[in-house]
Amino acid sequence: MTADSDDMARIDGQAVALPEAMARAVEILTSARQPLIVGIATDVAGARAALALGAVSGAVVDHVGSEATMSLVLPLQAVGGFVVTPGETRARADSVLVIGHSALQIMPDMAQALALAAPPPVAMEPGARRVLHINPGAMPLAGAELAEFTGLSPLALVSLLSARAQGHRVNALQATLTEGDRVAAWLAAAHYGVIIFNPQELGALAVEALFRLVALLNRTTRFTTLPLVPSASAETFKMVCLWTTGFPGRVSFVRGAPAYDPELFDAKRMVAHGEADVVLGIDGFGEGLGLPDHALAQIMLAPCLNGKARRPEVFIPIGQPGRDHAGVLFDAATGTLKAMPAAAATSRPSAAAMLETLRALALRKGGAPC
Amino acid sequence: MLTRLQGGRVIDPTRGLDERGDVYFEDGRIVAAPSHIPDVTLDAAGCIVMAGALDIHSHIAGANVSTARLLLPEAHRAHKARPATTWLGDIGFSAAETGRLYAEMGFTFVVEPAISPQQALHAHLELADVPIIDKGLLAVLGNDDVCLSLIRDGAGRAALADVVSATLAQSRALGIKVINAGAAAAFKYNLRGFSLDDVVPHYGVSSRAILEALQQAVMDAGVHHPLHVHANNLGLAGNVETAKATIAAARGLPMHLAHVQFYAYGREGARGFSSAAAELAATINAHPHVSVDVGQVMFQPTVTISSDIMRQFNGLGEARPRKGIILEGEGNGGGVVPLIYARDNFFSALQWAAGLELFLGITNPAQVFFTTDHPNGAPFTAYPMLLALLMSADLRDEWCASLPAEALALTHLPAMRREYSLNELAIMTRVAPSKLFGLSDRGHLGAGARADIAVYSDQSDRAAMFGKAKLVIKDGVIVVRDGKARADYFGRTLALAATPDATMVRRLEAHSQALYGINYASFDVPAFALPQSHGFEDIACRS
Repeated sequence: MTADSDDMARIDGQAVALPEAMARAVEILTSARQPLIVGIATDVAGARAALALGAVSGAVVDHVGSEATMSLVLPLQAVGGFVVTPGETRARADSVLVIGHSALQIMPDMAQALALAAPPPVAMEPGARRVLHINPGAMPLAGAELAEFTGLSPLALVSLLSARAQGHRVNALQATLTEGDRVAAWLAAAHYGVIIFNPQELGALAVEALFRLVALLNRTTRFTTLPLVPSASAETFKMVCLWTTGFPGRVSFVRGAPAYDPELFDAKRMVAHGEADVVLGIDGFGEGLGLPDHALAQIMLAPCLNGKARRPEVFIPIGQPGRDHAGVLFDAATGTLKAMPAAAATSRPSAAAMLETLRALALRKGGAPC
Repeated sequence: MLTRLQGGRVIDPTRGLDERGDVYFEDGRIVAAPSHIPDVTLDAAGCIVMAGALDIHSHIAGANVSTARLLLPEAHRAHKARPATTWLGDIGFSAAETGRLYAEMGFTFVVEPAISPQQALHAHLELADVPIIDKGLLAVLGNDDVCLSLIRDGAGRAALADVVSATLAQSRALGIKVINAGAAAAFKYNLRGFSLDDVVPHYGVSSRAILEALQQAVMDAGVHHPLHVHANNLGLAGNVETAKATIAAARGLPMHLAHVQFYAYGREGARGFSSAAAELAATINAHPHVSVDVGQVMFQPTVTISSDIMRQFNGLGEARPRKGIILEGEGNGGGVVPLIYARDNFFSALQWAAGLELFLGITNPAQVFFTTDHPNGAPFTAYPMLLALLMSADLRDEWCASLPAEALALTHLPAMRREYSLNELAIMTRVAPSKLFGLSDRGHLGAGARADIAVYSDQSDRAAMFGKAKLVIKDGVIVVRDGKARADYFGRTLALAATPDATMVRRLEAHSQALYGINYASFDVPAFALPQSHGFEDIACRS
């Protein structure tokens, strides 16, 4: 290990002993008027520790992937919805509708895990699985029927399908109507249908409309959805945040008790508006912090600095969960949390260990600034 | 360190005790009156001293509970930032609040009753963050392809017992629950109703067959707690027949029926909905091998959290606010539907009365367990008032005066004058639940028991008394003082030390791969995955 290695803690780019870096980090954090804890690309323990640190430092805590998770959370909070696991989709769905180009692209392993080409073993009626891919872009799903709706927003598309599924009249081009009716007939022929989509690609409003469509379909047949959110750490953070604060993310501890506001506590918005004066970033998987280019995390916890030109004031090296150390992460294949042993254990500390130390030091300094 | 809890009224039904006296504890355990002088004396004069209370059925953790939090941010925000009486003011508890609020009422052990084996790690991680109290969970079987296929194929008792053992070991559970046996599977084949003798499509297995097979398997696997049954037809008019048929289906063997208030309905009256609680209580009294918990309704907005997805789907139309989430998984899945139980609503009032009728009509307090099926009938924070209602016929009269007379006329409640004694309450909330789970060192204050003790200031306002304990001691540590809990103490999660059969585990692994394309071991709950604050306490199986 050399002095320049990313295994060393750093202050202003200079390698220092870890306690020195930790002390400086706490100094920065506790003297902040509005700290922001962002990134949070880490495991369950890291997410817990990030929220606990947020609570003692009066921070706003937001995950880098929350734009994607919120595209699903907000519709669920507005109208509710129907969701199924990948395993049950594979075993049961006789009809799978994929909407959009990105849903299975962002999860390359998912298409194979779902074994869409194989017949569903516990389906009501034995037989092949029907797969329909709407607006596949350049990457249509192999073996799928295709449907193309050009010039329609995702919301307009879902609304069209909804209207035609109910036999409502729609003012649209004949080609669009014909295609819409074909899909509506396809939906009606399903026994157990699953709609796969990327909530961020469709947007919250279209997802809300989609959940309404699924509720409608369930009046006569069975339908549900498999929303795919690309970031495992975002789902992990959402789950931890729910049981520790009651909220799915974007929480503020400014007033002590956690408060939730999906717009106000959007880290990117806060940074853009100069509403935070200190940023602590946690990037255990190299997902970045998702902040505007000019924004700089004063305190950065990551496996490496990635040779970035602009360096944080304090850098604290951490390991990657499931590689350097064991951890628990959301697993897209099972749709729930999964324990991951260290694949190649190193002595690099976990984000949780570093964040817990920061919290203890902050508490010793007198806790929250206001 | 020897501690003396001095001069309280000690109510300890296990030893037939209700008298002023001292309780001693040392190193986390109750000890007999010692010969040497205590290091510390705690004054309990004017107080009632009982063992810590146990709750056997309260949805406090796991994927479905967190989905309810997700669905209802308004609930939690209201709880924190506005007065507690605000609409939806106290149902969105975080894990930390759950432990604190339970402890402040003198509870020291709570069972989360409905965890899909696939979600066990998530549930344990949540439970790990519930402070102070001890926890346990029940794993859900009976709507999954493994059980249904084995029963269909006539695989026999041993195979199903092996599935139970493997599930307990993998999920680190304390028992097994079956939820509307077969209905979640049937709903996936688009059935919208499901009774005891209805058959799951594709498998050709009836609800009764699933119930009987799992009841036997749970006994064969050495589980203390009999099969925990959420029966068919929850909430429907006339479903007392289902409850009675389910009790008969127990065939004289142990079985626990959950939240029976939701099955105590007849079809009398102009609305075709009446209380049949008296009839159900009489049936329960005549079947001492069956235990029940009530699932009392109290008047306030709440959210229903249930793995009975068929029922939850059918209930979406009653959702207030108008939204709900239906999750489907490899077995039961879960449904989350917010509801309002209102004092001026005929149905709510009838449900409230039916629950109390069951409490008052079931003669043996060791056979009826104290629950609101949190949060389905009411949040557990309603317990103190419910205890007060059980102890006072006058208080019930006061409540009845403000309820729709039409509803009360279809119940027997106004005529019931029974009042629970403190001793009976201690049997219901301490003695019986510890026996039901085979926990010999809980629920009493005899030497050797865990030093889990609740001390209440004896006051005529029983709701106030039970709402904020004067002192709560957990493992010999003072965790609540004058109704305020400390947040830095953590109990353990109790898990049955089941031994999985290696052949069955290989079979389950092959099944999981073939059907779901998923490693069975993905659902393991290894110790390294849990925070250091989290310890398991292994409970030996019944021999």
